[in-house]
Amino acid sequence: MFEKIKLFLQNHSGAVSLIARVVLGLIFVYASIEKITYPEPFAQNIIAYEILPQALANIAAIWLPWLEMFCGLLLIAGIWVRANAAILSILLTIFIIAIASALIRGLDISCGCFEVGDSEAMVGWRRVIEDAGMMILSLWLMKFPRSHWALEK
Amino acid sequence: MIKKSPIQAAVILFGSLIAGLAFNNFNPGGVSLLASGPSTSISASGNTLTPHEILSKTGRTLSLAETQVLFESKAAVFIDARPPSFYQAEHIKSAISVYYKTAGLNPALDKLKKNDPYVVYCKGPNCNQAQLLADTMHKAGFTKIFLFPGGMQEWRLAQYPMDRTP
Repeated sequence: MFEKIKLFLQNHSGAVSLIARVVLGLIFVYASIEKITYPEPFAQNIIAYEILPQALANIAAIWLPWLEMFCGLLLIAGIWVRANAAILSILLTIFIIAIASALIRGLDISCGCFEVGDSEAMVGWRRVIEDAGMMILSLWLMKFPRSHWALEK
Repeated sequence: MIKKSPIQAAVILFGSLIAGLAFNNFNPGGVSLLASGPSTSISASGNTLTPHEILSKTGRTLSLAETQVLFESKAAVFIDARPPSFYQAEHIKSAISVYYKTAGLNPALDKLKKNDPYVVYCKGPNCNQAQLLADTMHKAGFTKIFLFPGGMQEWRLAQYPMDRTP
């Protein structure tokens, strides 16, 4: 069974990579929009994790959403897929560690994942699982960056 | 392709940083690159509404201008419905914190007079925490609860007085 799935994925890696590209790209573009618009509440989200001081949180709040936007758009377009996937893998690793550490420390804070400020979306193990799922997609794209309908051949 | 990836990643990292800094420079809600304190500026003079007119209106939703009048005249108690960590980081000056999830258990509510006017707010137009808190307060017998949907977003953009709890 496992071998069949593996063989299927390898035979259709172009199509699977296309789906992974578009799904990841859309998620990260969507996630970036509110953070770009409202950097200050997003900085508060970052501070609430009690990992970074305010000055670094402000820089992260300025930089991170644009990094997500760039990576998302380039992935959708199929440009520099491996490099984008590598960046997203690192980002997702950081997100997973930050959320898990907040949960372990018992912090009752908003995630800051898609909405900024005091949103309803609180940190939770579900977020960790979602990020892990996205991590699988980004790791796949690092191994199989070539796909259909990519601007970069 | 693999050899090119680190250079491409560096271009993406650098490009996004430049874009972020440039946009932040022009964004009215942009943040300081250094740690910043709370804003203390006051504005919005010349408003024609009186606190009494605002408090006697039939609707229970306040505009930024109406909220500012109530704030300036100290005609209502402001309540922040967000999680305590957000209240501590930044809130409307003199507002008290009543987290909407634990409002039913919060001793702060018991100390408040049921017939006094209260302005409840949260993040901004997209949050419903203020509405949820208002519902809880209504069930607890409070009679004059006003919502400020603009919340911290509008208040911050207007640079009205804010405070933070160390």
